[in-house]
Amino acid sequence: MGILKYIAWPKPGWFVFHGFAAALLLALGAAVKFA
Amino acid sequence: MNFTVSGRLRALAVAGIFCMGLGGLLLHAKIHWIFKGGEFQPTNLVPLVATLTSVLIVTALFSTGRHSATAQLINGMACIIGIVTMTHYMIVELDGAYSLKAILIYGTLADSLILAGKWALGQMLFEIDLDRAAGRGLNDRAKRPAYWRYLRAPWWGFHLAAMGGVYALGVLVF
Repeated sequence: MGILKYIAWPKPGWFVFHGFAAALLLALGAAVKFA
Repeated sequence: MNFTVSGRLRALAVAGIFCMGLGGLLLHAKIHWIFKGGEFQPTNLVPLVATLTSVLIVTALFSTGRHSATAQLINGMACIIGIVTMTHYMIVELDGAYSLKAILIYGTLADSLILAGKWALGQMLFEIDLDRAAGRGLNDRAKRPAYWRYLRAPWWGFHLAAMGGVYALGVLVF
């Protein structure tokens, strides 16, 4: 399934992708708090 | 034209997602546009981008019938981000004055439930196409992927909880 095979569990890409997504969500929470 | 049953159901569900996406876009434009008093409001870009994505990209991907997994991934994630951020707004707005009436009537629970409905429509399309891709009809009984697997309902429940938790961490820590 395209890019998904690189970020599927338990490939290293899974950790990279989820770390990136978690950082984005943390930033969104902080941004909305201070908006 | 000679549509199949699943084709007709799919067309209705895609129309539903389009209408809910466009409705959300116009509702957000009315409530908080990206410019307020001539000043740019960057966080208001989130609902604008999410609803534009729903109207243009999600609807187009579902329409093809071959990209339902990608379409539902985007649709469901947009719904989760909407539910999480709107719940945050409700918590801030109510400012501790929680009551059943406040949450049901004045809060954003209604908006979150509409988004949950949009998720369900997309999930229906995804489930129909999951069976269709495997050569099964709407009423066939067959072994399906485990319920906790990628894009199935409990996977979404887990992501709602996890994403809400990470977002809450961003609110509390910074």
